[in-house]
Amino acid sequence: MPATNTSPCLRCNNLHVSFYLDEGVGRAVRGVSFEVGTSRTLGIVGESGCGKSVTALSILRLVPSPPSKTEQGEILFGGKNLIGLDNDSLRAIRGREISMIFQDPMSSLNPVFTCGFQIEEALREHLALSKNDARDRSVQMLEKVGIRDPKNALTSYPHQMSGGMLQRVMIAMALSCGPALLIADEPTTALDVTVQAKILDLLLELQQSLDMSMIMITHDLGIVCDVSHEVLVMYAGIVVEQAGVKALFEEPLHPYTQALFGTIPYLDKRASRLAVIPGEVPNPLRLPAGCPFHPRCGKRFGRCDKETPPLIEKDGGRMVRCFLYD
Amino acid sequence: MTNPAVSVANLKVYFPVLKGIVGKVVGHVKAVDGVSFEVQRGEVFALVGESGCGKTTTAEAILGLTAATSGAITLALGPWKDTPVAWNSLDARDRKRLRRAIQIVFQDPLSSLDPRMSIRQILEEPLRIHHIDNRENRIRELLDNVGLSPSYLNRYPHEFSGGQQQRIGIARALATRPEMIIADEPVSSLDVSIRAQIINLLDELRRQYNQSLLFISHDLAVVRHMADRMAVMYLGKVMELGTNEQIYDSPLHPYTRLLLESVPVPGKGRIARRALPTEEKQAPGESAGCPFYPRCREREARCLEAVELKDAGGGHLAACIHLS
Repeated sequence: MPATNTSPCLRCNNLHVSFYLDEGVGRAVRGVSFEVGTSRTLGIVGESGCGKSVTALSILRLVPSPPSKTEQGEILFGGKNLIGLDNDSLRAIRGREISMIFQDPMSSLNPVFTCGFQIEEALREHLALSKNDARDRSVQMLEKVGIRDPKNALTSYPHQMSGGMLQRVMIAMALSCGPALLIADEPTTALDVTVQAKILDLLLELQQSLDMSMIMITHDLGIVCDVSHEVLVMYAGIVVEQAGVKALFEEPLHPYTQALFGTIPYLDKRASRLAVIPGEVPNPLRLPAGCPFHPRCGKRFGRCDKETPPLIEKDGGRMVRCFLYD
Repeated sequence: MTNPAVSVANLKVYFPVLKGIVGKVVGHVKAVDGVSFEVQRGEVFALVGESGCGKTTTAEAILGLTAATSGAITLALGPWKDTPVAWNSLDARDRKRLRRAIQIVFQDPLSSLDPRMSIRQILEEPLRIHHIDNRENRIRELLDNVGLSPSYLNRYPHEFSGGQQQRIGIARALATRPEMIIADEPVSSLDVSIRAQIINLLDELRRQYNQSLLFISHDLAVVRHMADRMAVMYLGKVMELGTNEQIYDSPLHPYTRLLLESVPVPGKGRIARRALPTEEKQAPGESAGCPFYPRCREREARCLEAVELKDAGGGHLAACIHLS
């Protein structure tokens, strides 16, 4: 990460989250550390099951517990450790100082309440606004996210709106209390590509005008490149690489990152055949010993199946977890 | 070429909108509204577009699963290789014979496999229905084709990962050795590193068995990789049609350009930022004009008059008044 003068908005140290299931213990997140600079965007990329969503949800304690358990680690935000906080204090932060938007807006909104009620609920809860003030603020927010007839939207139920509109409502709701940090978990995956582009524009625009930090979780390498300043690449619950977005795409260091970049088809050039990462993403209940990527890695050698490599610091503050750089 | 595997001419598929307890027809959803294209033998033809553009309905009509409201679909497959036929001209027995030559791979592999059938049963079913003998050997060959171990035969779909399930879906589609495969968003639900495996597999098998492939996708990067030719669809109409190079290197229609500019490219980001129209997609009215009109950056009053696909040379067609 390039040295920034600004202090971090949020810092996560050595986070471990496990799921206690009948089949065994799934170690979903195993020692993840990162920081999100003020007004910066941290992208977290990885495939399903890599722990990116669990990491993000753990910040707001949104992973159901049981079966999950935050084993250790600290999440520092505004001078407080969110992990040790009692539920009431965390509730005061959730939606107020840290907000979240989810992948599927249709299932994240309550179908039996109007969009207006759901936006106003957050405002009245957190800012203790009167009904009328909350309504005025909701209208402003909906205008800000580009809904042209906000009054009509307020009285609409979620099923009456398109996916793009609903995601705008979600964003309006998430940003209504002026959070310092927005966590976006695959916010555009369910949307059409032209709608996605507009939602990304909107997020970037609002981030600037509200001076907000952002964590963008996605499996789409294009989106990460589009919005992030720094990027974490996760695999099987650990960070395998961390770098500034430019450095990462110019020269990926970890064999997994390199392989991942090779497997995707590109819009601007046509390859005769896509490179393939053999095998499958490991099951978190049965993680391989050593580096979790070693069974699929083309560059593995002696130590890889025995020890887990540490995160090794490279030039420019970037980090990579691979013995090749030891 | 003169004898395409599939030929679609002015296809229209309208679904009635019903109202009230008597089910009065109050209007129609024009899912596909005058689509024409041909899939040549051995070619990968893609239908590209966003949700609701009619690409899946078009595929269903080609498979004979949805009845066309009007227009003609003729298939030159199987026994009718030299004498193209339409589904509705065949009796039930002949329909079955034709179906053997055209198969589909679905988007969601798990929901397209029967959870109570073992892999052996899933692969055996098409062989039994089409009276294909030597089944045990065929099943093993199919598993080998898609890179799965024969030891999986007695397992059930839920025991497999998404990538493996899609391999089973592909093996089932290959069971009858079809001449044509329709793949409807076959990699959309898969992880990035698994996607490449499945894309390569589809490509290899198609070459091996000399199949035609109709590839349906909203993912422009995947289509860039796979397709020889493609049609870009929007709200039931073809906006542009051409070869891979024509569409990606010199797109003619403003919608195609918007699509291409909207995709964030890894390492580069998006081409267009903050230059997008604010309008959302809307169902077309009764006008014969361009359905993209409300969102188009280059719209003019005459766009609301009839717009037709025009040839810009070399088989590159676009439906835009700016092309004349």
